[in-house]
Amino acid sequence: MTIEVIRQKTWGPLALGHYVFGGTGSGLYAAAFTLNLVSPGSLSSVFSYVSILSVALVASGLTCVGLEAGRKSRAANVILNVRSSWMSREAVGAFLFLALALAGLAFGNMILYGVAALFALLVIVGQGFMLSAARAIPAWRTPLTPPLLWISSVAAGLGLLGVVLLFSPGIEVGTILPGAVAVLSTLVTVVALTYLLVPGKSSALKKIFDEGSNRLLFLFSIVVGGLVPLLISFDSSGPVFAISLISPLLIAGSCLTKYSVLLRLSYRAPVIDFGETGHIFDERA
Amino acid sequence: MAIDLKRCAGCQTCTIACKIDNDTPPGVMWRNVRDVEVGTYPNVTRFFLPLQCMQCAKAPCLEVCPTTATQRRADGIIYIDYEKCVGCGYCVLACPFEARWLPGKDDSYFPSERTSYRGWIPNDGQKNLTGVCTKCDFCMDRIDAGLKSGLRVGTHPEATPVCVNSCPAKALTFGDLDDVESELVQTIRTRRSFRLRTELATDPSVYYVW
Repeated sequence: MTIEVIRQKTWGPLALGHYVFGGTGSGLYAAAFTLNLVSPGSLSSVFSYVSILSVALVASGLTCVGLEAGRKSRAANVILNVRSSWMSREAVGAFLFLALALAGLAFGNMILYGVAALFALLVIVGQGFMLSAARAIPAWRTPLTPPLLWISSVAAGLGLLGVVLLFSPGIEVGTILPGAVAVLSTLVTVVALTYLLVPGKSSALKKIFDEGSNRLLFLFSIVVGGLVPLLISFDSSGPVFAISLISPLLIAGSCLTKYSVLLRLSYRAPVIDFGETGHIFDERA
Repeated sequence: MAIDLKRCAGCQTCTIACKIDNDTPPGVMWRNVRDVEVGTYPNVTRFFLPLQCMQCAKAPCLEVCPTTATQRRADGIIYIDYEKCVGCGYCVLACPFEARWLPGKDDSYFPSERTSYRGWIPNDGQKNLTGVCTKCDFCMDRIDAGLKSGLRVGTHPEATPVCVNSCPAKALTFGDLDDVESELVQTIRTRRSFRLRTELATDPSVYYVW
């Protein structure tokens, strides 16, 4: 018995925009704050630019999700169910992040920055769990989907931070980023490869990877966003050269991964999955 | 609800009855009957599988709804408050039974002659489904009206969903799963039964018997 899988049409490019902009903006802020914490004062001179960029990206992400709603005038209602809905939690996190990041900009207060970074992490975490709660989509409801999205968002944020630092005179890129990049690239590669190679018990998910060029596209995203940056990070030509190559790759890889997961792999499982319950129908009266 | 797969002939009467009574937009099928074939030739079986909202006890749609538009009544029926829904579509992706719909337009096959006989809120007695999610609600208005009149759910047609009433083969049984004396519970207990996608742990309230 063949299993028919059909790609979902409910969430489209605007949903992808929400994940890409929101995840990258939150990842950028969280990465910058964390690196500044690890190496105190190293990013102080650019933190205001990072804050502005993060706020703009997260706001763009929220705009995308607002535009995707069927009833746009009611879009603010999405914060009403923090008790159980990860979409609500993520939206609250995003709004609070915006408020606190702007407050941090206005007052230059490290505590405000820190709390804003926590809410940026909530946005990242929320995006991952949002997908895994969508039980109709086998490619989303796996245990590895949240970590894949989290690492992808942080990687994109780190890549964007690299771009910002390259254009910031006086900042020593080489002392801050290379270690973080190596660790993150490794994580991206390991998690994404595991997601691809270990589809679990779901026969529908195996079929989804077989459809069209899904497997190839996802592999390509791993190469772009994980393997190549990892290899370059071992290059001894110079940290500036390495970061100038790695940063756009991390961003591109993250975008490709999210595009793959959200729009290409997002097939609905059939209501009757003969692999799991179909044996019941084989019984004769 | 219990659905007898041995009786269902795939006539789609329940599908049409639902469409007429609820005046759902084109392309929205709160209820639909699938034509299913299993096995490999020459050992092939064909049967018809009616699908609708399973009114799950652990509904993923309710859990993911960011606006609390999706709610559960005390009797277990899950419904949508159309005034709260923003049409994000998250519930459509959360429901593993393809029971939820997000129509872009509240259209009708015959716009000047809407078929719904019941009064809906809020606009001119008709509900406006443009941009909001919609699904089967077990004709809860009929059930409420019937209960108010002292009728018994699942026994009296005025207190029973239209799909159940319309089935010419009497393949559908409706009632209270908590009432052990009800025909519904007796049917489930005395016949072989299963529920769909139990591995997802949503605890559906619709049983298939054969």
